[in-house]
Amino acid sequence: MVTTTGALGVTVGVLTVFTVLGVWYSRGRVESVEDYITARNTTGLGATTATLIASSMGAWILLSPAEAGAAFGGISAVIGYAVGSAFPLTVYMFLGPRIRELIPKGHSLTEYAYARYGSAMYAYVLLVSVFYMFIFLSAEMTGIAGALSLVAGVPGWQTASLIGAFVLVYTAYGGLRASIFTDTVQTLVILPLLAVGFGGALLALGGTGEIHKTVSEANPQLLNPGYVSGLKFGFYVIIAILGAEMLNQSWWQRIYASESSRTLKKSFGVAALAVVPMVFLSGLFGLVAQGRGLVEGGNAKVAFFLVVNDAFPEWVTLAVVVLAILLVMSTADTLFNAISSIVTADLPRLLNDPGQSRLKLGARLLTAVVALGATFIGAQGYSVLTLFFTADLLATATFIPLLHGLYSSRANQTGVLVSSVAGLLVGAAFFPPFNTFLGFNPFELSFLNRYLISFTAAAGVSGLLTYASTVLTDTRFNLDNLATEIRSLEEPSPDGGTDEGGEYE
Amino acid sequence: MIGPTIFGVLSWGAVGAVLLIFGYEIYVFALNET
Repeated sequence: MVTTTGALGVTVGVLTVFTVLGVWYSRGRVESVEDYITARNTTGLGATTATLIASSMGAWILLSPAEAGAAFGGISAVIGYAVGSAFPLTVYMFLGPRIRELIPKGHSLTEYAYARYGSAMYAYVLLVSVFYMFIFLSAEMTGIAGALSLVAGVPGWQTASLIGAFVLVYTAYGGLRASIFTDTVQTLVILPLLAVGFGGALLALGGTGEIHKTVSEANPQLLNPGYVSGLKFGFYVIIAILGAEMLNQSWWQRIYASESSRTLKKSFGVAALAVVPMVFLSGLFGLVAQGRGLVEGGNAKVAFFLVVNDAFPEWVTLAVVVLAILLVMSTADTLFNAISSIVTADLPRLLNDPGQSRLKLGARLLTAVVALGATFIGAQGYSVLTLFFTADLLATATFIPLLHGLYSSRANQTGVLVSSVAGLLVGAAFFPPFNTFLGFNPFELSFLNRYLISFTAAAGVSGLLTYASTVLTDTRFNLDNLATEIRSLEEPSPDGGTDEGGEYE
Repeated sequence: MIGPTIFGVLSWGAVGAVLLIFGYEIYVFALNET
């Protein structure tokens, strides 16, 4: 086992290098709040692809896919997880250029919700989006704190505090520009480290033939791509991740940071391709953990680290620590900035046209508040899985009504809000944590089937009702108005900000 | 159940794919398309 001092030393070393890089790169590059939260049209193909890969690959890839492989259905669940993780990026290949075309001066998804629908939908989307991103961030902090505690006995509060503090320094200073730059460097380290690390792991475990033999002897179903439980898990995970990621402000920021729609499309495509093998390889560790008999008593969530502890020498464990720190840093800086930007973009309206320096100060203070909150929760070691699923369900019931307004001039606030709430209610009726809370299980369904129906119903009902509401209405929204109503934060508007709900005809 | 050959191809193919993406990133940066 790696010593606590050794792991802490490596952690501080990695954090210091990237904090210095982030601060160094940002010097003189953040002149306005636009630079801080949008970095509009500044990022080329390489950096856009790298930041998309880094932002999507958090410490979760060392936890959840292996857990899926070990506990939820073997290789079919792992493949579902890999596809589910890539699918939202594929959707953004088409959605991103549409967002840039309709709202060229935009900053956030809530700003769009306000201008397109009005204040009620804005408040709802703000709540769901911030809730999801904050839970994601807290889960990252909790995950890395738990992982370092397992492999090196580092107290959770020390890991969370160190990561929170260092990442806060460069993110508060350099905003999105610092985040994208450090993401780029991190990706160029993470990719070879992952490839060599996983390749080395396959060899250290005796080669793929030996791994196959071990797993098939323990439970041949784990290697069955048609295993029904795994397929069901894979299907609902695809819907849940899609819903959640459509309300993730990080992607909306990068849509604007990219230098062109062409670059954006290509970058999202490459990032989607990159995510699949990474999640797949990580998921294989869950199968290995099962094959080696390491999974017992609910420890499947750390299956990856159980294998690392069981089968690899100390230097490999240290390399995994470096990898985990890089993964969590790249996601934490992205989410610190994303959550603060979502509120910052609305400050001109709320504060009646504050100056650039007040806006920038506001954005930095918000970043600090988010960092402190996530660090505090991460240090507690809570199980955030139920909250994560809840956030996913909320987002799944919201994303179709919200995004339909980018394509349909008939979508209206009442219709999309009712659709979203109806989808949420139907989804919640089958949602296992809610069922457990109420002591009620509809149709005596299994846990897995209830999750499957819950997410499918949330997306299906909200989508169908949204479509029905657009057919039944005569009102029209002029989508071209979005471009004029949502302005750059450097252009003060006559009425103190963006207009609510646009103009219906 | 997938056999050992397909399992091996999938596993090593995934490692190769990650390396390919890395190579692509280096290529793009070498072309100065930062």
